[in-house]
Amino acid sequence: MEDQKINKDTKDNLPPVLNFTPEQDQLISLLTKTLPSISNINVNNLQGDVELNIDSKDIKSICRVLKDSPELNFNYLECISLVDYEEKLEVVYHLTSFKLKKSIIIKTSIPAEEPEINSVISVWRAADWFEREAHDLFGVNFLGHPNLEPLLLFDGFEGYPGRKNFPINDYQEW
Amino acid sequence: MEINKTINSDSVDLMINMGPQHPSTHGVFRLLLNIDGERIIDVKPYIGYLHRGSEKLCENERYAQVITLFDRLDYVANLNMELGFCLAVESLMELDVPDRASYIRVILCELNRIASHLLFYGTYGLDVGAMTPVLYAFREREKIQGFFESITGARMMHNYFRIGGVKGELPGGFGNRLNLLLDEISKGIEECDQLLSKNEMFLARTKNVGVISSSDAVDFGVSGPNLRASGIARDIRISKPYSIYDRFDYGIPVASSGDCWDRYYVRLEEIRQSVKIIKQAMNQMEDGPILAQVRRIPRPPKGEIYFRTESPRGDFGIYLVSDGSDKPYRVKVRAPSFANLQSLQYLLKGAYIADAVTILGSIDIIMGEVDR
Amino acid sequence: MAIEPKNQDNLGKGNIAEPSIFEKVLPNAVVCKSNELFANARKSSLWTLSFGLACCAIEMISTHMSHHDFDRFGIVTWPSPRQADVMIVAGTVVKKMADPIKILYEQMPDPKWVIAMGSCATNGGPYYRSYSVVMGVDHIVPVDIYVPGCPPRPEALMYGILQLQEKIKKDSSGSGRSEDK
Repeated sequence: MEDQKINKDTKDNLPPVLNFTPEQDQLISLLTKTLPSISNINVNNLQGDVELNIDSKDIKSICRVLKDSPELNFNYLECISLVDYEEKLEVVYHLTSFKLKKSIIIKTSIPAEEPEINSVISVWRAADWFEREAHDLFGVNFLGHPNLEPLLLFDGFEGYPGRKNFPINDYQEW
Repeated sequence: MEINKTINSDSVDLMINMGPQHPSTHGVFRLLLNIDGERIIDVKPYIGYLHRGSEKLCENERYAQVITLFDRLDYVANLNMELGFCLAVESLMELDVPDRASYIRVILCELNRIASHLLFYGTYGLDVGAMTPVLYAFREREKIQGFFESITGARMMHNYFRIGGVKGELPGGFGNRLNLLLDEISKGIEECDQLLSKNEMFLARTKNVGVISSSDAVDFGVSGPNLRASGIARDIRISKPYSIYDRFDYGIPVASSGDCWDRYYVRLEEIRQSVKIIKQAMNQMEDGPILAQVRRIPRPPKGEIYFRTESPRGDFGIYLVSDGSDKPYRVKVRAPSFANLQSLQYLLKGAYIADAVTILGSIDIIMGEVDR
Repeated sequence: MAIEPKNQDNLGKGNIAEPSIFEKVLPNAVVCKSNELFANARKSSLWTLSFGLACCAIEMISTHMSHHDFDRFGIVTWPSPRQADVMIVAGTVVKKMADPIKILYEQMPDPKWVIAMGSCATNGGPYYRSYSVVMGVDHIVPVDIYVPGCPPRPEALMYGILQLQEKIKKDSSGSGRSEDK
């Protein structure tokens, strides 16, 4: 509950760039109503999508609520992207609700060493290959995914080519 | 479709390998089919036979150079790929594109959409066993490619769009030639339509085959014509207009049953709508500059964007992270074919083995985009 | 000035030469090296293994279609390697695909030829030194003809085929491929 208070306080003191449009305000109030535990909501001012920053442990439960709640109904998983910031990996989920005709972004950070996160395949079946690809290129272990075989890379490939510490021109002769 | 396992309890499952070299997989794609009699009971798709590491290579190229790699993602709709990337960078830089450049982009992109759907039309005919349609489709496609060549200098890998506009001015007599081309294409499409769409055998092969309901399609992340064939009118050009797509009047073809024939016909109808868009763009286009004032080496400010465009295959998303330097920090491509192909496991389960190629062809995948 | 025919037998036959003694002894026989004879037959009916890897495959299909009409060179596209003579490697060869390509090449009956179509198959092209791409198909199978371009125009592929025909013809007289092995 304390988090929520802090959030409300900071929301009033936000810089002018992050002024929410009425539509975004509506979505944010809906989100805070269904997900009272989320503390960090802001808006990507370039594309106008609402962005949730959450703890990586809650990803599955929050996704489940976002999809199942009749008001929000984020039924379309567009993309799962990973960004390597060297000290941490950021997992970014882009969701769309056909009912609200709105998109949101969910962001969560996981450690770069032995990264682990719960799989959302039980929420959206679309997550299957996106997670396998992330496992392939970034070495992220998706807990609860039934089949994490290499998808894009061949058997016996060493290293995670998506990461920044993988040299770009490290070509092994075939 | 349910499989009654008890009847065939004595029989042994047969495993069939299809690909990676198979004429109807449209590239290099491998399927392992477990079949019981005539029914497919399990499918295991294998991809990655064209994984070229584009996303990683993008991190080592300047923004203008990345366009070359985007050309080769969906190699049937090159200009749509270029448009997606250019728009993503432009909105990251908050750059305004001159009107004339936007019109040129839209005209070329819609022509490319026609060319892409024509390729689908031809190869789908081949997939279901009709040899003639592909000859008609490529006759029309060849005209479009020749037209592209006169503008961009290349038949396929154009590299024509620039960040902030397009590379060069249109050649003389563009309008007349485009009108002539559109007339020819419109005539050709009607010919193609008459040739295949209502053919009795074609209908028998595709009607009620490979049905996917709208809720399943959404769950699998299917997009584009495949999703519209299942009854959901989602088109980024309408729902979240990018570039200048809000200035035209056109329809989004939607079918209801979600079978192979619907997926086929939605694409054919989209060609007609694209012709409509091009004609309107032609009339609205005015003289003016074709390139905005951009630095020679663009350096977008620090930030990130997820930009959606409607490629001929569906929602084409680019997640672009910039760290303020002249090279992108991370480029992630949300390829429509990648998500569409996931639904194949669902579509093939329980289908007849003879329909496997029909269903695979109707999804219209491009492996360059799936594997990246 | 009237020209009188020297030989009454040749009257009215135009440019037809007088039959040689050989023709008289063995009518309708051809004399040449069997190598050259077979090579002439082979080069005029090349069956290509139809397998497109990437972007170049689209241009390869274009070449086969009505506008460019590959058929006039005797090129027939064939899905099975068992009956194919020429493998056109059209597109990027990635490491995952390297072994299947080798197997396909080994499944083709001798004599067989390989055309590397496009810059990816030649040396990696735009994907030079990518972690998953083979820098040219010649790392895996021997290549006879390289067709440059990204992707090559249909005319370029046709020229490549013409060059291959030339090569087959030349190889038969002299040190051909079959003797190299």
